[in-house]
Amino acid sequence: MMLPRVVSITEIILENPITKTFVLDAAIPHATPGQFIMLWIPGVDEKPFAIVAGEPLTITVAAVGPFSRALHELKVGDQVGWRGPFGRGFDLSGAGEALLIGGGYGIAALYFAASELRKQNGEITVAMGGRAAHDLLFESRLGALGVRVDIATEDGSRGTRGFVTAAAQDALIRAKRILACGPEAMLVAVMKLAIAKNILAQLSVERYMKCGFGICGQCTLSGKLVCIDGPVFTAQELSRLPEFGRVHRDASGAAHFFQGSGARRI
Amino acid sequence: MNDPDLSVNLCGVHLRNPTMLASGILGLSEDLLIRVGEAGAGAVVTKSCGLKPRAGYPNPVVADWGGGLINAVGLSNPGVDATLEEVRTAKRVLKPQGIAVIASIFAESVWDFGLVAQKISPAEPDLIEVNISCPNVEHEFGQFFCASPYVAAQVTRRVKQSTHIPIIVKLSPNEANIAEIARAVVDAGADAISAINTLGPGMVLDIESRAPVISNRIGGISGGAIHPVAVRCVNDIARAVRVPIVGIGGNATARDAIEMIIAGAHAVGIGSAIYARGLDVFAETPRGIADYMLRHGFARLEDFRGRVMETAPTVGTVHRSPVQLEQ
Repeated sequence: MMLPRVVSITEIILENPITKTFVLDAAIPHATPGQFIMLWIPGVDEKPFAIVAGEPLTITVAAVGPFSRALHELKVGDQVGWRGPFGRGFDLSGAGEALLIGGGYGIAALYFAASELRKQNGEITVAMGGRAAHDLLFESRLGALGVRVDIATEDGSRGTRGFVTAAAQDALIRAKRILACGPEAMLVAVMKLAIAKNILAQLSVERYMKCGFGICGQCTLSGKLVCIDGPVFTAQELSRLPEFGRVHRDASGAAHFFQGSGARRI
Repeated sequence: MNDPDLSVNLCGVHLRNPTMLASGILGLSEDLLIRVGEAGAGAVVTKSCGLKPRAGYPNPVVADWGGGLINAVGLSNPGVDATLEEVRTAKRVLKPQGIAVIASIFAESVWDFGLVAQKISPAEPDLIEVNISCPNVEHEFGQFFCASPYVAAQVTRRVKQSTHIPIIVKLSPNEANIAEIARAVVDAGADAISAINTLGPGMVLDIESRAPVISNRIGGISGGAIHPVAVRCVNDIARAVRVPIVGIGGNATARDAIEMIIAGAHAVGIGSAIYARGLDVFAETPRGIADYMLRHGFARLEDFRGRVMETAPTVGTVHRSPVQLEQ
């Protein structure tokens, strides 16, 4: 049985102007970084969120839509439901320096990976990016883990001016493996970099989800189900999925092309 | 003995084995239909499509309550025009492998059922499944098309007049007399019947918040818990009409599928079981059916299809074995 379990919010941390971290009165000791939960606000909706910590269960959410804005209205002591953990997370068994590349709130899933890798005393560099300085999050927490943090912002208000891949340039020379989470255009760039430089890369992909456990088909990515086959895929796997970087689906299942210069070419 | 023949002739369409994807599960894109077909299914079925795209209901739309699943997805679909392309592509890949592609359709009115059937037909799906039995949209559509034999027959007639492709009409277990509805749709021209759609609707509550777990408040029940109901419905229909039946409802193992076939099914739909067993269920089920046939010396599915042993006892009589009294 896997009905949502309704629990209290025990702590809320403001991370940046639009992002909050929610700590729940729950624990998933066996959760792996990259896995997600379905978070339910009874009477509102239920959406997937990357696990930031398993004990206690923690998620980080940017207020970008109706659900996340409703979540931001909640206070400590209010109740939410969760089910999970779902999906295939990052494989942390490799050796050598790890480069974690995160864009926007994607850095939240990577924070969990960084804290697990630090337990194995792994060498880690985190490259994080955002449009501006106020989009960044988890910088001090990552610093506290003792990992190197390289920053890029598109407007140059913090770190290198440019995309996060610019912040990753130094570490790319040393990195033996890459973990990435962020907007799809960023993931496409990371996939290409990783394949060109022959570095093992695992990337966490997002799609509109309904069931979360592999039967509704809503989150199809060229026939792979992001909810159970992913959300973490290797660069090699993604390079063979034509819809990656090109096509996403809305709630009806209708396919839409990604717009903008970051999209993969047909 | 030769390998048993698991193939099925479903309204003139050849299925290499009797397993089918149940509509509503996975069939959202051509890639997923192809993946299910290549995993071993005899036929794949799209999600039900309607005239226009529908977003469906907010989450949660499906939940595992322990005895099976409850769902009210709300017939989300990208619309018949998108499904047309999905069927075309799936057919191009699956047809050469001998895997049938079935388009499932729904509509909000009898008239629109005909329009959707007409619009999907150029993709040449092998069969069209007519979903008149979704239990979750009655409040939106104002009627439950399989609630009366009259309306069910009207939809059937309208679809038959709108397409040259053979049609399967999907019935609900939630009506008192499924055999009567079956007779009505067969008289109206249905080429086959599939049964059952989800049972109920049911309701699952979160006791902490007292909220219904499904956003629609109520949802259809599927999975192992409904299999005995499905077997009974299939057998009721088999006794009432002479068209092929697709038995759906809680099929998870070869044993479940064999039971459906004995009850009278030509093909068996598999849906919720994919949650627990993955797509391997489409390879394992035909293997298990073949083992059973070898064990019983059946060469073809018709050797045991519909062969339920007649056991009805005389009502009200008590059978006493003769007792010898000691002298």
